[in-house]
Amino acid sequence: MKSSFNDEYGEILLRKAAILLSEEDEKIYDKLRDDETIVNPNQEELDKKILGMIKNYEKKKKRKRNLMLLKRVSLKAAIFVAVLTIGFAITYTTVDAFKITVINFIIEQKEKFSLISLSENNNISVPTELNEKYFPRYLPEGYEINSTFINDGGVEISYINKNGEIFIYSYFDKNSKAGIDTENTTETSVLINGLEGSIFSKDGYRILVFKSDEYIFIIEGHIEKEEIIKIAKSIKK
Amino acid sequence: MITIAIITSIKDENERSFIEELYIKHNKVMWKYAMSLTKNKDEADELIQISFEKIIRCIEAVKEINCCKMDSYMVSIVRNSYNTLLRKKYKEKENIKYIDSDELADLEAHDDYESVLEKNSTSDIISALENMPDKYKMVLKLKYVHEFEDEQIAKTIGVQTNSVRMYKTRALRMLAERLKGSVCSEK
Repeated sequence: MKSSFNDEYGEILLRKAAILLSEEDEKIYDKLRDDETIVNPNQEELDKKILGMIKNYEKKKKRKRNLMLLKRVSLKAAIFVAVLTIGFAITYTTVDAFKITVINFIIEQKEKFSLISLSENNNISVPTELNEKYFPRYLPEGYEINSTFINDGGVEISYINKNGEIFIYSYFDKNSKAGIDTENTTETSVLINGLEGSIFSKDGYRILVFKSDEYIFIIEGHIEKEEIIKIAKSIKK
Repeated sequence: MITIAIITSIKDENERSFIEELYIKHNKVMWKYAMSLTKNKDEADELIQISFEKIIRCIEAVKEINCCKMDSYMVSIVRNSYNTLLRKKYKEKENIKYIDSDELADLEAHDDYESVLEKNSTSDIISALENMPDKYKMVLKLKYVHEFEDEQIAKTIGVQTNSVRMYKTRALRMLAERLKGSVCSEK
C-alpha cells in the first residue's frame, strides 16, 4: 500500500513540476511576443522554406496513401474477377472431375489471397534495393533519397535536399489508375525519350506524367521545368 | 472507396492547414527564442525547421494539445530542437547509458514523496528544477501538461520509447533528492 501511495505522490510531484515548467515557458513566450526589437531579416525566405516543407508533407502523404489504396483496390478487383470467372466455370461445367479440380483451385486461391492480404496489412516489406526497377539517374544538386516504397506494380521514391525540399518520383503498372490533382493547373506537352507526356504546373509546383508501353511515370515537386524534364529523361532500369 | 479517398484527402488538407496556422501564429516568437539561444540568424532558421519537422512527426499528438498550452509547447519544442542541433553540430554523445534492471529498480525505489511534497513550496520546486537536464524537463512537460503518449515523447525528443520511462524516473529521483536538500551527482 505504501508503494502505490508513494507512486501517487511521486506523480503529483512530477505533475506540479511540469506545470511550473510550462508556466515558465508561457512567460518566455509572452515576453518575446511583446519584444519588437528582435526581427528576422529573412522572414520571407523562412516562410517560403517552412510553408514549402509543410506543403510537401501533405503531397507526400497523399501520394503514399493513394499508392496503398491503389494496391488494395487492384488486389480486391483481381480476387473478384478470379472468383467470378471460376464461378461461371462451375455453373456451366457438368463433368464431376472438372468440378473437383476447379473447387480445389478456388480453395488454393483463397489461401493465397489470405496470405497476400496478411502480408499487405501487417508485414509490409519495404526493400531499399532498386535493382530491376526504373528510377532516375539524374538528381538536381543536393537531393538524396529520403524514403522508398517498392511493390510489384511500381515504385515511389521521395527525394529531399538539405533545405527540406522534397520531390517525389513514382511509376505504376500501366493498368493502374493514378489520381493527379490538376485543378487550376496549366498543362504543357513534353516528349521524354520519344514518349509523350504532360507537365501540370501551379505556383511553381510541377507534376510531370508520361507513359511507356508498360508503365505510367510521375515526378512531382517544386522543381524547375528544365530540371523535371532532365530527371524524367534519366529514368532507366 | 471513393468516400475513404475523399475523407483522407480532407484529413490531409486539414492537417496541413493546422500546421500552417501553427507556423503563421507562432513562428515569430519561436524565431526570437531561437535567436536568443543561438545568437545566429541562420541557426535560428534551422531551429525553426527542426522544430516543424518534430511537430510534423508527432502531428496526431500536437493536434490534441489544449490551445492555451500551445504557446508553452512552442517554446519547449524550440529549446528541444536547440539541443538536437547542438548534438548534431558537435556530435555530442547522447547521454543515454544502458540501464540494467537492478539500476532501474534502484531508481524506482520509493522515496517518501508525501513528506517531500508537504515540506516544500512552489518556489522550492522551481529552484530544484533549475539544474535538471532539458530532456528530463521536456519529458515531464510533454507527459503531464501536453499528455503525450511515451511513444510520441520518444519521437519528439529523439530517443527510444523505453528511455522515456527512465527519464521520468530519474527526474523524480533528482527532484526528490534536491528537495530533501541532498546533493545530486547526476549530470
